[in-house]
Amino acid sequence: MLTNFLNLWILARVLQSAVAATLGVAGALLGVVIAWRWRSGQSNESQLALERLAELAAAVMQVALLVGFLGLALSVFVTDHLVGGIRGAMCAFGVLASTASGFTGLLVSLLAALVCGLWVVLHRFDLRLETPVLTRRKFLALLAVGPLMLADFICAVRFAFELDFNVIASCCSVWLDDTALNARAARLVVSPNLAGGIALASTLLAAGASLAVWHRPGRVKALFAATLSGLATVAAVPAVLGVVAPYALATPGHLCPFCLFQAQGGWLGWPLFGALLIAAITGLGLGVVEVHRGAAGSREVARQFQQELARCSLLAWLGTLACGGFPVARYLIRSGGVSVFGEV
Amino acid sequence: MNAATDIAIRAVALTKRYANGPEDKTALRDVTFSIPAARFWVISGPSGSGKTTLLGLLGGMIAPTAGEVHLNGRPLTHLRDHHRALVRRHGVGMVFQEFALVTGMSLEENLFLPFVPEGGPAAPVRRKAATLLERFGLAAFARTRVERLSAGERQRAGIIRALLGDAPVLLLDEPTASLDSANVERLVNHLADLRDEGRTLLATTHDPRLVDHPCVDGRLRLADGMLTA
Repeated sequence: MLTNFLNLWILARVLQSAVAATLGVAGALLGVVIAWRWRSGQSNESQLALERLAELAAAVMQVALLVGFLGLALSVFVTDHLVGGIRGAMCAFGVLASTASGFTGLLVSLLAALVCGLWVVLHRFDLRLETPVLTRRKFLALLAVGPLMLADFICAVRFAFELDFNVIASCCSVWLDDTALNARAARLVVSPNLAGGIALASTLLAAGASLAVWHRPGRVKALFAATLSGLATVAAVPAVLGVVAPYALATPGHLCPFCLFQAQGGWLGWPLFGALLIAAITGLGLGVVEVHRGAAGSREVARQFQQELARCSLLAWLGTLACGGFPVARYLIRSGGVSVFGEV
Repeated sequence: MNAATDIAIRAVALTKRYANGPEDKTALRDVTFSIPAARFWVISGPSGSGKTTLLGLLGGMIAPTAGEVHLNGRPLTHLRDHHRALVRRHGVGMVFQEFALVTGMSLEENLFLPFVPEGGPAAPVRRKAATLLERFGLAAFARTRVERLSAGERQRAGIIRALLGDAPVLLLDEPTASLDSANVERLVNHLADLRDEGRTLLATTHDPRLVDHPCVDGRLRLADGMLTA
């Protein structure tokens, strides 16, 4: 509905995605020009002018992609804020579920944030180098980022159009309560012991691999840390549903991650998912740097940058672990060691 | 030194155009030359011939429209701004025509100004400054405000500041412009000493006292942005 755009929060989200998409598409178009005209190492007038244009454009793109990155947080914040206007919705889940494109849009925002973050990692690595040897690759990568940001904008507009404040939505418990998860496979995936165990192990392994890269970077270590970071990110999702949410909400059968963004969940979702996203980006970024290290030509610069990334990744993984472990520890202390699932 | 680094300054097809209203002004056109290490060369030419622009390009202070600059074998053209700044700070010393000293500050404070981004001068830099002040006859003026110094003293102060960073290449813009003949002779002797220590010097000038000085090893002549000799 067109009147939905009068809501300031919806308007903010649409404007944010519009700005990010416009700059992202402009960056992608410039990427085409650079891919076509870039002549590395030449010092003719057009190449030097292109290098300067690329430096300026990359600085603008960095800001645009950070805006795109923040789109995910804004998306969650806006949907959470709209809960009061949608009858039946108790958290962002209900708002998203009340529209056809809600969850698709969130998934696109998540992908866009991840890809924007990885592009910024590549950009920061390129800036460390003396000469713009990675610029062409960097702008070619925008060919993937630009359309994703455009898709994010389209999803944001579609969500705003589809949002109906007269509808009676279903709350998250209809979909995400333990009893609602009828499929045996789904119940197994979010079972506390399995999901929690896998997430804990993979997070500790990812943190350990990051520590190893921080201590002494190497090709195998960096690629291993990136792979483990990717796996730990995926493994963290069922653990949040199956372990963190029940403990944070003190309800064994309630598995909604969106409730963690509210007061009842202690707003834990913000630091938890924030740390998880940063850990994923910096961890996967180690792989991005390693893939481009040969083209960069400077082993020492790559080594130093990987150490900084690995330090961030390690801290972010430990932060994720702390955020995820906090509600569990708090509950166990308060209950005298009794699990929220009723086991001692 | 190998063959590549025997050349301290190399310009290849260097061109610089400035936007000047609807039309561009070409300050330098296709300038190519090489200056061997540990030599004292001068570039002469009338006002507006592109001497200062050339010095700015060689010192990494301005970027060329086309062409390449190599300092001690290292190409500067494609360097990013912050890496070029490092070259400016450590690879090349610049002595400006108007000295670029900050009035209201003492000579010593002016000398240490380039070290502020690095957290101030370290003890070896302070010791070196004291040695250079002594050598250039300015030790007594270390705490004197620069506006109280004569033109010759300010010129020497500019050279000391350029030398403090241990730059192997020294670029001087019209170093004798405001000096009398006695001071010109004194300055050229100082520059010849620096050349003999292994530094490469390139000075722009339209002063015949410097162009024709026997201490000068090589001469280039610019006219309308092009090399004529």
